[in-house]
Amino acid sequence: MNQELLTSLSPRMLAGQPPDRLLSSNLAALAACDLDLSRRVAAAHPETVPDGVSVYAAATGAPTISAGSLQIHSAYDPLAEALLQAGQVPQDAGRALLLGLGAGHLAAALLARPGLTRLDVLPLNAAVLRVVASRVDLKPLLCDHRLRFVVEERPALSLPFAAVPPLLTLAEPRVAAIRDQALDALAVRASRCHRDADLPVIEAHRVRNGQLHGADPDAAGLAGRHRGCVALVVDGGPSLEGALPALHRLRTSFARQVVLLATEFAIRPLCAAGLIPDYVTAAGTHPDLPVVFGHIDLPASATLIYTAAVPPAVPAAWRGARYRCQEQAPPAASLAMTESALLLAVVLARHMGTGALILCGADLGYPGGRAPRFAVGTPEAAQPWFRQVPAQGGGALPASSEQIACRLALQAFLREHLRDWPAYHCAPGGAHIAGPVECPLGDALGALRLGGP
Amino acid sequence: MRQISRPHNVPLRPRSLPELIDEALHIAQHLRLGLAEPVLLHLDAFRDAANVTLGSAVQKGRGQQAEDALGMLGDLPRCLARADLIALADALEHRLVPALRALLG
Repeated sequence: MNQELLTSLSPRMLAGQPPDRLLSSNLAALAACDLDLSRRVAAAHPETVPDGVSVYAAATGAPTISAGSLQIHSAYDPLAEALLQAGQVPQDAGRALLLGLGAGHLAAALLARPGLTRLDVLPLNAAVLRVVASRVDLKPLLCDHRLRFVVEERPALSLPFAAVPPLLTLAEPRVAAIRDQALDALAVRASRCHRDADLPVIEAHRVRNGQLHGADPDAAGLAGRHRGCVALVVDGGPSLEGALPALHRLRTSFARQVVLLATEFAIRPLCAAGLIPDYVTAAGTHPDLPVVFGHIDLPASATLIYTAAVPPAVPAAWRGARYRCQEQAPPAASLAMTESALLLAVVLARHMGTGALILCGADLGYPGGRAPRFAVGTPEAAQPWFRQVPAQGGGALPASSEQIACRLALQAFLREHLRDWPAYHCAPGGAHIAGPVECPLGDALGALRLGGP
Repeated sequence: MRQISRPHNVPLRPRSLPELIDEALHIAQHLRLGLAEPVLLHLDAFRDAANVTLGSAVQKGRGQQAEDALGMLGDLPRCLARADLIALADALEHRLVPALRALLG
């Protein structure tokens, strides 16, 4: 990083400069970059931002922004914060994408790298930019020839990107698609970071499971076991409760045509409703799992399929048959480290040769901020800092990073298999999964000739 | 679907002041990068540990500085309740950490 360049590019508040005059000169510089953007900023109404936007000097004297009750940049040292955020873009990147200009600190931090030949900037909110442009001198940044504003109608997240995370929450609807992609990417990074923190626990489980249950057969041996059946994969989300009567009818009338795979989080509500799954998948390292399994009458007729990461007490408590996902063998090789029992169940359903898939209770979020009735551990209502994801049928719902990472992995898997494996996602109010048909459970059963609504 | 709850694999043990400082800086950095969730899940455990450490410092006669740091800890839930992650990072990095460093001497 070139310190001199950073100093010259860093945004400053100009004392004594009337806001209207500063806005005019910034808009002129903006017009030279992107006339349409300049017009939009000039016409923007800052009062439309809930609770208003204010720009003021941080403790270091550099400009910072607050929007309503939310701090957008550090109130102490926004430049140091921007240098940290710039670290998200690899040092050797020649080109990068910046989501949201904010007060300009992150753009300055990136452009201070002499190796960066182009910085594509996508402003997320014209009203915020107007307030910034009336308080902060943006001309050194706007006049840098490497800075270009993104003009595409539907830009994609194809470059290494950096973002001021709180600005993403203020994105206008027209950039909602790329904002959602960025939030997904951040969720996957956060999920990995969470997983990394658990690695010592996972390793301990792996060793202990090898010692205690090393003789369990490999789940790969289940290939083709249920050829032509419909796979009903049940997760423990809030929507499961409404599906239980239909699941009962299905188990009574179509037991031979349907194979029921439940995740570790679905077994408790299913057993409470008198529904015994054929298979139960376990992949979580959550230490409360043995407690949950210990409090229900475990069905001896159900088969457990587990990864090496689960607490050894889970297979130890199981009364029925057990299969372990061997780390070196397909289909579990890529799943041996997954924490998602849902993904494991879907991959196994395909591996077993089933002819169609119904996903039930896979909300992958917290509809209405609700946690499921039978949650493991000490469930909390959806946290205000959770990310929002698109919901089935429109709208949004809060989701944790792990739920988002699972949804993306599920989408990627289904994308490869949907051509000859019809899939239905039946979780009213749950997260939208691209690919499968989203419909009520009754409609999916009707389409597969398994009864109807 | 994994549910979110306080992680049980974070042992509640009194941390030394340097450990608390490292942990606070680590949490703040993740908040600034939008990778908040994994560290926020540990925030309760961090606060409990900091309360134990600072409570012990009060008993050892280093009252005022430890009380200051405890006051900073009280700010954290307010930032969390309104999902103001940058303000939470600021509170950790620029208020709690200096208070802990002052306590270190």
